[in-house]
Amino acid sequence: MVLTTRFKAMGSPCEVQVDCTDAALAARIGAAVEAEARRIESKFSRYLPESVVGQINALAGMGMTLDAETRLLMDYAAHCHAISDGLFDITSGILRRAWTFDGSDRVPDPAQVADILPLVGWGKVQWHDGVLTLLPGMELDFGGIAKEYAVDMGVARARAETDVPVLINFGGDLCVTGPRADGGRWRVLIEAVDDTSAAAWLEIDGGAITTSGDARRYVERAGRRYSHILDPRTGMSIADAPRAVTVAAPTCVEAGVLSTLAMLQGPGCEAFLEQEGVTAWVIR
Amino acid sequence: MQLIETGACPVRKLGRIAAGLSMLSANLLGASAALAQDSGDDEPQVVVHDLMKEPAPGPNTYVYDSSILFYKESGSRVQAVEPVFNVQNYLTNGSIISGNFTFDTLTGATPNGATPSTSDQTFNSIVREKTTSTQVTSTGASGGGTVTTIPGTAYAKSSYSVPARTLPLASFHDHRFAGNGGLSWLANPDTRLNVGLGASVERDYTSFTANFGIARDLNQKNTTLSLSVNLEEDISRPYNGTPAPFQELNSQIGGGNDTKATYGVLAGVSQTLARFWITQVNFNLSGSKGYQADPYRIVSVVDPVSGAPLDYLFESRPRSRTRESVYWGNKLALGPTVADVSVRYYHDTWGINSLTAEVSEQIPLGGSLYIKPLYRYYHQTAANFFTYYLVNGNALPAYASSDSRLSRFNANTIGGKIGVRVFKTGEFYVEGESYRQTGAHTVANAPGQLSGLDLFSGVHAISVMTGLRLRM
Repeated sequence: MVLTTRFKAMGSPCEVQVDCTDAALAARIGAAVEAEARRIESKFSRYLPESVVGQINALAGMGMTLDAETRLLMDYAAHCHAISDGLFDITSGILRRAWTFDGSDRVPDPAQVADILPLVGWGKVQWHDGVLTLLPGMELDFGGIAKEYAVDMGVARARAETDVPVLINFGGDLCVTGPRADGGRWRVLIEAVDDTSAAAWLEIDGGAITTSGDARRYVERAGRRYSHILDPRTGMSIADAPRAVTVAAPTCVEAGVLSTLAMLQGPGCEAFLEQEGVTAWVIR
Repeated sequence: MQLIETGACPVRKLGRIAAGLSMLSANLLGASAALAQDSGDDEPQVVVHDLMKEPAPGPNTYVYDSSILFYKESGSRVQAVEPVFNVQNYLTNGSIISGNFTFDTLTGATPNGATPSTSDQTFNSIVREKTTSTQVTSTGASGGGTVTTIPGTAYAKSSYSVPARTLPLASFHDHRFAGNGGLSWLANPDTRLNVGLGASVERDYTSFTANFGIARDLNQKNTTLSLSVNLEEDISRPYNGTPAPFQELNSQIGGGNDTKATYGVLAGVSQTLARFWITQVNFNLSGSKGYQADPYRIVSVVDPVSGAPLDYLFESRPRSRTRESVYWGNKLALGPTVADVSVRYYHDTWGINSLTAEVSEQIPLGGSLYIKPLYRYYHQTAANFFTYYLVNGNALPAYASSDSRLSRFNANTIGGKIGVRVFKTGEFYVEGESYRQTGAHTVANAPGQLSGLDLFSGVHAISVMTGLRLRM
């Protein structure tokens, strides 16, 4: 029997499924995971001015010493930037200013993109010994990491509370602590990316699953679809990217970065996943 | 509907990126879990640096700061130009080597200590003849006057006049070179030791300083205890020798050089009270023994009825002085601004008690600019031997000085700083301050003419400093 706690956090519906009959235990685990999600949201959301990320962005240009947890995430983002040759970049968020993803065919003015590009690029950030200095005007966005990190931290919280199997799903980024109590797999409904594609059932007995997709957020021009995912190196949309990539990996944070990187490969998505030996499903 | 199945970690050979991510993610989550267990939740999440002021620089970083200060007192008094150069080298092992060099040029005039009078006043003294006349005119109390050699001796007569109803000033010109060096190192991760040596040289004054300090972090670096000792040895070499206490101005000075030794100890504690609040309390005790008077400063001896000046005597101050002060400072991060609020109480055995209160706030304006307005209030009581004049016929006290710095006064400082980021890791700044002393201009029951004269010799000064700080 699965007992589920539902709440909304980080702009997504969230659920904590506990495979047991003890309602008190399930509620306790649900509350612990929710508290962790809210803690991480209030710390790393760029929409909250008092969050660490809100302060970092408000103080761009000044040197600041960050706390230990933020330092870990910053190091993680820096390493992801390095091993992806600059494709994964937490400074690319402000490129969204040049784009309007409304399904119309408005592509951004290259001059506007050129204006923003000087403020994009992890290489322009000074990050050493726990001291971060952005160029004035730069912005960080942990959108590609924070929700996945919250899922993994939620799993750690759940494991600290109980040996009972738990599934945590924050807006489609999910992770399980192991197989179901009866040894079987968890069955999860992955929502359709848009009206024309089908939803899918997913069965999982370990590790994490994340999905990157552009759903309704794309620009169609001259018969080509331009994804909302932007190449931080050029500011340009990735042409011919898949509509969705679902990746399985041992943890949610690595699955999240892998699915983002796979999307950024555009037409080379499948080849990338094959080369990296990643278990994944691609919807085109 | 499609059915997707996945097992735990399918055994496949991962590519370079996937393998790297796998390791990074495991490290991230392992370290985060360890942090959660430490529950080091009191750590501030974001500590803003005063642009470049307190860098926690990377391995082997140099910080250079050069500035120039212009200081001007109103009423054609002292003017100073002071270039300063600072360098700090942060080594990989946590040690810090620092050096500081200053070169001052001071010109202008300072009160010679005499009261104004309703008549013109002439100040005659006997000075040691120097090899060149420029050196003579630049001595402490002879500028703008005449110097006549006394044939067959090494002495000359110096004379200068001051118009009626004017505060008597003596012109001077001096240079000062000062340098100091310091070394700070970690004895263990929680204990920092530091030593420093310094010297300052003027033509008639030399000062040597040494200090040794220890600072220890406790309570997960939320508390820091510090203790330091400071030693200073000063050598005073007045151009005309050191006058005896209350020696007449117009007499031959027999004394040579004199010295002063100062020993001080400072104990402090700083405490993080909340994420946004750091507080610090310091207690300072120091004692000085030796020559502490101003060898160029005189006191008027006035007629008890008319108040007219009859004679001028060199001042006299005690040869020992003990000072105590307590300082309480607070640093408050209020949103993106950082406020500094401090008070200091001071007491010494000369009878001076003072209170200083200061408020400043650093306000970022956009990413690369900040402003920092400042206000400082200062009040002190007079030294117990401060007097504007001595009265003829009364017994001489043991000590007397008319130095306005020993009088009772208030001072208000209004200032501001503006800093702008340059060259990615540098800061260009301009700082300005207006300092104004206020105090009593007349003395109750002053004899004769003195009751109608302005005796106050406090200053109004403007200073502007501009500098460039670079980290590389």
